Amino acid sequence: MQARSRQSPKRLDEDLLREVACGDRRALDALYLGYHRRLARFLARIAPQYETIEEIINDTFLVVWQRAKEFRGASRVSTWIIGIAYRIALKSMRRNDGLVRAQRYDSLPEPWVEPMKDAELRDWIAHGLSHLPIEQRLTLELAYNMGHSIEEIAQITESPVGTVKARMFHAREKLRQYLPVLGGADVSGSPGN
Amino acid sequence: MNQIEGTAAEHQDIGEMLPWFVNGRLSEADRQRVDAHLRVCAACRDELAAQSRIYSLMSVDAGVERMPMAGLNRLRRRIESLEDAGAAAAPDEAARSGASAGSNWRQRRSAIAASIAMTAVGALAALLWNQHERRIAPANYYTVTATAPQPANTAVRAVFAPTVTLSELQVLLDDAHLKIVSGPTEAGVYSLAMSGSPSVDWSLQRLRGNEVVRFAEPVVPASVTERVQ
Repeated sequence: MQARSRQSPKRLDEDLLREVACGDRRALDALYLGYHRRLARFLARIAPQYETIEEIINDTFLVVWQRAKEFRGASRVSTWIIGIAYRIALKSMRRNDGLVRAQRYDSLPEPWVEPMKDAELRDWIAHGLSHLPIEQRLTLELAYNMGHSIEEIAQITESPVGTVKARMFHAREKLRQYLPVLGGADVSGSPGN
Repeated sequence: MNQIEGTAAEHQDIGEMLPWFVNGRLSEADRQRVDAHLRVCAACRDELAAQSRIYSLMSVDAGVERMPMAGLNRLRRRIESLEDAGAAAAPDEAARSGASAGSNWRQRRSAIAASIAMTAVGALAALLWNQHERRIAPANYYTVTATAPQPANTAVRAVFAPTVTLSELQVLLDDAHLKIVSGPTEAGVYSLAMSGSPSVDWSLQRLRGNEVVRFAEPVVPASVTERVQ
């Protein structure tokens, strides 16, 4: 245990996953506890109910347990695990999508003319996000909330890089409709200046 | 591609990369490309400002309290029931039964079932007694650092998240091979003794792996503090 703490997190994850593949349940515990907070943070943004988040994390690690042997090191352990959570969340959201929208964003904040305060802007963003198609919303969350690169998102979502960029582009376009006060510039137009 | 088309294509490319310029995850080469383009393109500068604002609001951690142990136990039970049914692809378990490095949850569970029951009663009794004492006795406030009276075999002092359940507490103490011998104090500090633990460091490490453990420190033996003074 002492030697492990000197290794990088990446190496640690790889070792743990290898042990999980050999049936080591304590290694599974360690991975679960290590990733729980990170996954919860990501999932809290898109599946607000506490129980749903816990279910998705649980399902994720059942898959990790069952498929650890299939991990070939093509991506990092983190993107592999987050990718599993992503797909499970996607399925969950597709089942519950209509319900989530109806519950959360019935009343809009008053639109402001002056530069928006952070609290109001956050409400508008949340409203806008809730109306995005799921893959677009998840791409935005993975980039802005979780800080992933284009390549990592491509791995997590098992999509080509071009698709990731396109989803992000469309997400931004749609968000702009809900955020007129940001005065979003038309990027698709001719270069300015 | 003529110059105008090339410029438009570059503008399109850069526009698509802006979110990752904002979150700092572009390669150095791409980052420089974007940087160069921003110097000559007001539209992209505006868009950058808008994206930066959205990013700064979305990247805030809501900081919701999370207690992973309950979920982990549920996962363990699921895996065990799946393997009982023979459905889970538990890899090579039989071949490694002798030399398995991992713990066997079921063996541990049955062995400690009795001690959980006893310690739970003990811990519950301690909790109730402390609360009772606080109500009827004059306030004797102990800070974490003050030398509160504690049982002689205390090895670790710990504070847990206030929302932790008794059964969660029991499981994680069991996992760390520790048992409650006193507490909680006014400050919420528990005194823990070793219970089949190889070492204090080992127990501390296992404790600290849990999110509900806010604070855990080894107890300095009385003889050491006397020498220091």
